[in-house]
Amino acid sequence: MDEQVEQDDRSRFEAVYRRTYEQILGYAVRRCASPEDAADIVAETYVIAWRRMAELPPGEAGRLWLYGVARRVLANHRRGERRRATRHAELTAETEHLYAAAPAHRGEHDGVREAMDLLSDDDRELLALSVWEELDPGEIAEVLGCSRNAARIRLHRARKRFARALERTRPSARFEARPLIEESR
Amino acid sequence: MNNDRMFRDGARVLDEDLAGRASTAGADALLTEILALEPAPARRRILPSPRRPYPRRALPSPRRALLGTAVAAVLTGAFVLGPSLLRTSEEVYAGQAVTIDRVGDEYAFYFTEGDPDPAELEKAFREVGLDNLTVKLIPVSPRQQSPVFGFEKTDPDAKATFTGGDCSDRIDDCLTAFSVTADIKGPAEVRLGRPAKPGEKYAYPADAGWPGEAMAGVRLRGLPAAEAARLVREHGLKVTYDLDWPLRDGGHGVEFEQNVPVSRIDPGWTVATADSYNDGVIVLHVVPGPDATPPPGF
Repeated sequence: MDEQVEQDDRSRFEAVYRRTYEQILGYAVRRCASPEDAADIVAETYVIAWRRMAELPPGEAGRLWLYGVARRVLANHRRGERRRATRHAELTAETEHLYAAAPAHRGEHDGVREAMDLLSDDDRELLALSVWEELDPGEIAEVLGCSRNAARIRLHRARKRFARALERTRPSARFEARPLIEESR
Repeated sequence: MNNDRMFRDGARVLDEDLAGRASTAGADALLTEILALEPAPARRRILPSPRRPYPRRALPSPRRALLGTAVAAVLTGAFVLGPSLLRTSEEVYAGQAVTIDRVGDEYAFYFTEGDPDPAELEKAFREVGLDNLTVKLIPVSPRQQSPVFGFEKTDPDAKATFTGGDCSDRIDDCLTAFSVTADIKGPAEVRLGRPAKPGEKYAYPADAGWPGEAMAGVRLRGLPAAEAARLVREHGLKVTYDLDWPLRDGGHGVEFEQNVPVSRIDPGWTVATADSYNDGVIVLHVVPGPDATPPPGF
């Protein structure tokens, strides 16, 4: 009986892993300065998922749950609380190639990168979840553990602050602040 | 170009650039590594207690190893597997290897480092005034995935509560946790597993069938005791027996009667687990048959 449960868990975990791996890898690579850190984030996120399978929601909600786990793992790394639960040497090597092959930040020209750096971590993460992970406010709310309305309003404010930051770093260009209603997809 | 597009272009990679990455060698290797780790704690059988050099009956008070309640393996000491430590508390120390909360009249320890530096842990203990609490690393199987943790104390009034790996709600990546009364007196020792060197005996049992262990690749679980013993001997190893008695109160778990003579083992009883201490002996944990009578104290 226990073996059957364990086998079911393994099958389910592998299915979730295969389905979400590219997205969690992308999440980590976009936020980590080094490939080693990105590999650690990916590995630790899935280790936690494996150990907390009972909490992993089915379907699409599982991806949002994993983003939430990855976010907390990343925060721990940034606080210097690091733990390497697996060796993941091959993953690290592949991630290194990914970093090496990635073009220089496309946003670095014309002050976009500088504008992103002017944002608070919270604003940058909100925009990233919306633009990079392509989450709608309801999904962002799931990841951040807040209400949908709060996510929507905070995202709107983050967009406005990004527009203002761009005005500072790219004074010759015109920028938009998208109206609130457009944020619902 | 709108602002979202500019932000998007600031990404190092986009998900669409990663198509096919879920089946690379790195992804496969990571998946394999993770699946080799302990599965979900709520469904895992906790590893049994270390073998004692004398029969279980000789001990003055019974100790029970409960099943399926924790990830970390309890070594020794007067532990009670208790409720979650998640109560109102104040963080009094935070380091890479351990976070310490003050919870009422106890300190709660959340261990987050798989291969900690004892000196760092002892420094943390000193920070909160636990000057007599020391750390000892003990050899365990290099294949041991879950942290091995033990605690010995000399203060009879001190209370220690082990909460195992169910602690990540308090600290992300928490490996194991325990709490102890803050006014503990006298010497006390925290024991943590370290990978044994080649040929070194283990201070904590490993599953004999794990890759690299003495009975690697041989499935003993579920076999009749006599057949399992034959297979072990065919590998040039000796056999000893433990009996796994169900708890008398009907609770979820078993109590180990250790070093049981073969004359008390029915050849048809089933092997639950097989342990190795890397010492040429395999300990077969046998489930007594339904008609078996437990000895006094079990």
